[in-house]
Amino acid sequence: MPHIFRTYPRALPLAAAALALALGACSDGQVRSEAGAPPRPQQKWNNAPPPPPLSSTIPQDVSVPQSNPDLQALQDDFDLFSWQSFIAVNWPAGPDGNPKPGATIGPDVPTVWENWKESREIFLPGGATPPPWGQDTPPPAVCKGLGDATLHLTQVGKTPNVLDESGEPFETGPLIDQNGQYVRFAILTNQDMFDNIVSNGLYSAAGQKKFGKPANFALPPNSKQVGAIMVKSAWKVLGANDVAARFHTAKALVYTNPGEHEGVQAACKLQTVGLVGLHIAHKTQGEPQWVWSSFEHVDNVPTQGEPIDKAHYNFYNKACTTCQVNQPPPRPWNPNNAYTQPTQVMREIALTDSTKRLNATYQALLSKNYPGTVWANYELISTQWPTNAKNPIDPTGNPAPAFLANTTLETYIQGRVPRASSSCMDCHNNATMTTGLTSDFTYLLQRAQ
Amino acid sequence: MVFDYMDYFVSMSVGLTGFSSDAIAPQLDTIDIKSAYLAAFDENLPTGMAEQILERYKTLFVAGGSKPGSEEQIVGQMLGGSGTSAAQILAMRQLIFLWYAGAWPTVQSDGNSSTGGQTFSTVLSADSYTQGLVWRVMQSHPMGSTTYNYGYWASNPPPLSAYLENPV
Repeated sequence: MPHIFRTYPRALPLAAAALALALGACSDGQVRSEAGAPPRPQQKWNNAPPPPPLSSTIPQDVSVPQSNPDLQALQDDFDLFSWQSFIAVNWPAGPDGNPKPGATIGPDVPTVWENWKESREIFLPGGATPPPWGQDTPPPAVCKGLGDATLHLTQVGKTPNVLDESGEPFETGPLIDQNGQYVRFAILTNQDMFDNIVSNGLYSAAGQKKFGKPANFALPPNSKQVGAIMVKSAWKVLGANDVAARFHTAKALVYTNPGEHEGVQAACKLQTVGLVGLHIAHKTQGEPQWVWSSFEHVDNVPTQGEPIDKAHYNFYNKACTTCQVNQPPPRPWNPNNAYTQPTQVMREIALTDSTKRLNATYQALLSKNYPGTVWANYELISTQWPTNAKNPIDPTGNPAPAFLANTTLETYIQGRVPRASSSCMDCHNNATMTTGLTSDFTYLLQRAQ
Repeated sequence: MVFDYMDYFVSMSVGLTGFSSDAIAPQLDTIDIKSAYLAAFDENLPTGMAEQILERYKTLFVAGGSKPGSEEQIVGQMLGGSGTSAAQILAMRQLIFLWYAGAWPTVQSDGNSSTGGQTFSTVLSADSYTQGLVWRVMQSHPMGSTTYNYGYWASNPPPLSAYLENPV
C-alpha cells in the first residue's frame, strides 16, 4: 500500500504543535504548512555569496547567527566552521610554525598543522618526557641517513617527517591506492593539546596513573586560547598516473612500523606523498564532544548512486568490472610489498547539497585568491557535532549527522548501521587512557608507555 | 484539505506512550524515527485506517481546545471506543508496541487457544531497535548498543525523568 501521508521534515515541540493546531482551529481549520512560514535566515552561500574571507585565524567556536535554527541551519553553521578551520590550519607556516606574516593560503608549502606534534613524538619509549614544543624527535633508526624529510628546506615545516601508520580504525584493513601502494597516516596535536598532555603527565602510563582521573582537554571558561585540536591525515605515495600538482605534497620518511603488522620488517623510504584525507577535531567551549570536520581530495572516489564521471580516481578503477567495492585486501598485510591489488572504493553516504554548495563556494574563493592552488582540490565531506551537548543520558550529545566516514580513513566502515558504521563521536566516546579512565574522546593517550 | 498528519501523529503518540514530545519528536531530530513509524502505521493497516484514526484524534483534540496535556485523555476516550472500532483500537495498541519495541506486531487471533492467539513482531530497522522506548523506561540501553562511556556500569543511571525527556 502506498504511503498516503504528507509530512513535513521538521518536528514541532508539543507547545508549538498545540499552538499551530489552535491557530488552525480558529482560522480556516487547517494546520499551517511550512511553506507558509516566514523564511529562516540562510547562510550566505545558499543563495548569495560572498562567504567569510579567507583567514589564518582558527575559529574558537561555531557561530550561530540564526535566532531559531533548525537542524539544517545548524549543520550549515558547523560546515562553515569546518571550512574556516581548514583554511586556517592549512595556512603557510612561518619559521616558528605559526601562520607566516604576509602570506596567504594558496602555494603548496608546509602548513601550520604540519608543524604540530605527531603522536610518535609525544608518546615515547619508556614514557620519556617529550621534547618541548618546536623541537623535533629523531626519526626511527632505520630512517637515518635517508635525507631531510622536508620538501621546502627553507621552511621549518617538517611534518609529516615520518609516516608510520598504515592501519585504519579497528584493524579493518589498510587502504591501497591505484598504484598498489599503502596509504599512510599521521596524527598530530596542536600546542594547547600538547601542553595539556605534558603538564598533566599524560604522555606516560605512570603519569596517567598518577593523574588518577578522567582526562579533560576543556579550556577554562572565557579563555582566549583556541583549545585542543587533533588532526589525522592520510597520504598516498605519488607515482604513475598521479598529477602531483593536484595535491598538497610533502617529502616524507615513509616508515614501516614492524609493530603494526605481524611478521613485517622495519623499513623506511624518503618519498613524495600527496594529502588525500584530513580529519580536524576541535574541543571548543560550546561543544565538549569536540567538532569533527572531515575533508578529502576531490579525486578520491565516486559516490554510490552518482555519476562516475572523472577520468581518474585515486582509489577507484572504472575499468575494473570484477573488483569488489569497499573490501579490505586479504591478509597478510605488508606495507613493504612492492605492489598490492588496489582497493576499489566508493563513498556510501553522499555529501548533502548544502555541503556541496559550500564546497563550491570555498573552492571558487581559493581559486580566485590563488589560481591553480592545490587547496581548491579538497572538499568537506561533513561535520559531526553534538545537537544536545548536555544530554544527561547520552555522553555523545546526540551527534549530527549520525554517521560520518572519510573514505581514506574509515574506508570499510561506511554506512548507517548503529555501532558498526563510522561515527566520530560514537567511536571516540569509548576512548580511554591506559588506566581505563575516559580520555575525553581521544585514543592518543592509549599510546602512552 | 491541508492536514499535517505528522503533528497529530506526534501528539497522539505522546498520549499513547506517556513520553513527552521532546522524546517523541526532538526539535533537532537526528534520527527522525517518527517518520518511519508514521509510514509503518500507515502501511501495516488496511487502506485508510491510519488516516481515519488521526482524523478522529484531530477532531477530539480541536474540540477540546487543542490543549497541551490533553493527549492522554483523548487517546483514553478513543481506546475506550469513542468513535473508534475494535480494529482501530487494536491499531492504536499496535502503535504503542511499535514505539516501545521498535517493531510492528502482527496479531493472529485464535479463539480456540488458551491464550486467544499469538503475536509476531518484526523490528523495522537497526534504528528502530535502538530507539525503542522500552530501553528508556528501563533506564538502560539496547543490547549491543550504548552511548555511555567505558565503565559506566559502575555508576547509577541518571534519574528516570532524564530518560523520558531526552532522545537516546
